[in-house]
Amino acid sequence: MKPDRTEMLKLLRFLDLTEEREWDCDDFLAHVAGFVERARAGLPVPPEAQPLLHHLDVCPECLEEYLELCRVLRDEA
Amino acid sequence: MPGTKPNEPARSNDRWLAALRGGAESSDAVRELERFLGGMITRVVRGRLDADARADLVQESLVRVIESLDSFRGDSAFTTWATAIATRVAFTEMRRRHARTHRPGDFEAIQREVEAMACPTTPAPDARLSRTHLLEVLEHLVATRLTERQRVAIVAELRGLPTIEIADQMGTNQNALYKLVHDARKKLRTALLERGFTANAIHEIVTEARP
Repeated sequence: MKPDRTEMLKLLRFLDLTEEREWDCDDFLAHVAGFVERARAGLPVPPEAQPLLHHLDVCPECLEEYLELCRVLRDEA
Repeated sequence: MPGTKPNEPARSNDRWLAALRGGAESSDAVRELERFLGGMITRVVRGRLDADARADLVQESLVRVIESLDSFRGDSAFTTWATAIATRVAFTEMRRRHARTHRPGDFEAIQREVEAMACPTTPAPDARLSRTHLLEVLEHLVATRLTERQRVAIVAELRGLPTIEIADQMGTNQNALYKLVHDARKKLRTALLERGFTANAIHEIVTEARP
């Protein structure tokens, strides 16, 4: 069974988001703690954090971990 | 940065780093970090794993944190960074267990399917660059421009298999898999642009197709 139309559209969405240089999951992990703390402090997203936001768009698993990290830190506060 | 909370270890980042790198407080710091990670793993796992599995995750997180000290950027509390690592360790294990028990055999089925995937005929040029035409071209490019490993990884991701399961089955790790898929996406995007689909046209078609 080849990919169906819905799957091809999903792939097209990822191609639309694709950039020449992207952060991978390890880059994301190295930067996410600082990003979460800035967000919790209400500070604006600095330009150097844009690749992290982009990674959240294309990696559902890092998004899941990011949301969990936010939840755990919020519950700790 | 947020201050230390009542149930959080009271060490500065510098003291954590110095102690965990073998300074005077080394064994105290390791024990303190182990206790802290134990609490965090319990909160992240939320009853989804038993005590033995949680204890293993604490040890794995501890090792990962200590091995990664040089990559700590110092732009957060040390404990926030350690929690991010523990979250990654815990989710990786939970995804692995979920994949083993819920959808065994899916990856092998996708591999067989990709091996059997016939190359579609080259779509005839279409001046309208419609969505249907774009999807036909994309299907052709997936079949002709990607390596078999890239095709398997892309199709498995489109089918919703967890990245860790795909990586394990392909004998690689999550990060290498991300690079493999990123290279595949770049290859497909470049090929679409070469075929006359502009970035704007692709974006418009994706936006129109959103539910």
